[in-house]
Amino acid sequence: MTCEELKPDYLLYAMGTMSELESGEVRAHLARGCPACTEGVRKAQTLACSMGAALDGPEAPRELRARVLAIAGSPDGKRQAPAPVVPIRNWRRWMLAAACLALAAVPGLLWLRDSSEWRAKEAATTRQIAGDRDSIASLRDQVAKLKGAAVNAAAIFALDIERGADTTPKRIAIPPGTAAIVLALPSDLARQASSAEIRNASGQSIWTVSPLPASDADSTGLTISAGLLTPGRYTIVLLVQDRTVARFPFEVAR
Amino acid sequence: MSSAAIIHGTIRATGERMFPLVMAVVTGEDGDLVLRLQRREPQALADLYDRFGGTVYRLILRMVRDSGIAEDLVQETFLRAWNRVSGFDSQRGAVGPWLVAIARNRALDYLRSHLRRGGNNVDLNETEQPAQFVDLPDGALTLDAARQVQRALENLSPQQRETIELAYFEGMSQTEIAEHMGQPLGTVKTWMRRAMLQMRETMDAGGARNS
Repeated sequence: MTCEELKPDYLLYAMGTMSELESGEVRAHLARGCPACTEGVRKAQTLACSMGAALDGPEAPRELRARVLAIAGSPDGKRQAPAPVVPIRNWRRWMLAAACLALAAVPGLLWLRDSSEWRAKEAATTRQIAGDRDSIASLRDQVAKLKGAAVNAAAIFALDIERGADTTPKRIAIPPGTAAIVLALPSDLARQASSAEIRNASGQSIWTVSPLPASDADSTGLTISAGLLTPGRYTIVLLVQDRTVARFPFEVAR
Repeated sequence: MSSAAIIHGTIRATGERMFPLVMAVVTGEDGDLVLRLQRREPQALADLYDRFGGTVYRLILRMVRDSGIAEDLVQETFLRAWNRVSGFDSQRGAVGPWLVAIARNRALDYLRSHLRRGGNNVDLNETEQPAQFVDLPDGALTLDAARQVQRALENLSPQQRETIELAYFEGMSQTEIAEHMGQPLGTVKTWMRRAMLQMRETMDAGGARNS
């Protein structure tokens, strides 16, 4: 490989986006002490670094500084190591709360929650959810329709569909004194079954919520996540007093 | 000693609108900072974060597009730097570019493992070896450098710019870029090579003007 052949690829090499074979050729060339290419790669590394530093965007959250500085509180830094990044971290936290809610109202969830099959499904879905972000975005858009579907009712729930930094609360209205059930069911089942049948179905995700006093605004959130769902077509169904208030389809991509 | 300063203020544009002005001034006193990091001084880690934390966060956020994950990866980035700084050349190493490389690699690693993106299978550890950051010119992270990069990117055609951004921010190989853009691999290679040469020329011209 000659210098002229290498020259256009300095930046690719610096970015680490060449194939192992190609980058090996570059390394071999540099190892021969070629001054022109060494200088070219050095400039490319600087350019690559500048690209990463030339971004506009939000400031880092203030709490993050404390998290980072906690690293130095441990002699080897290891005890402060962050947990492995799991893409549905926020969802897990919410799901725990949601599962507790659903536990009281939906006996079928007991089975889901306790069984090893549920655990295996959760683990598999954890891996899949990273690829499902677009579906969550679609879900988010669809959830907005709930707002219009139940606009005449009295009590208000907040629905937060999380997608990265973009968490947009959606508000839907639920009649006071009633419990609302939100289900995510395979579309085939949702299409064929009646509301009563749907309510009794052991769908893969069921959340039950009851209106809380307006003063308790902080605890009225309900988050729907595709986290439990394996790839496929689903229908989100909102039931109030066995009446289907709204339903909309979404797809969890493979 | 901290070698960074942040200036907060406002700037008045035409008319009555006030715009916030936040300017980071970073100088090149990396050696002292690296020595203090190597001595495990907690304040050195604080200084490192204050200098580069925002840059690292924005880069990772741009790549993974999830603030919660970005925060975790920022913490991983600084943890990695803290644990590996002993191998860094305090006299000749450029700590900022090294940190940016670690940050980008953390994000690429996340994208590859969680989004099942194959990438090019290059060992990311190799691209963040401290030895790779010896004798890099000062100022790679300055506002001036950022402006030059932005100008260089703006001068590219849309296709050229997209290929560079997909490679840098998404960690895509040329084959993946070709598939993503629905273009033949040869076309993508041509776009990228021209783009990189053009960027280099723009940066060189900018450097010459500034020197």
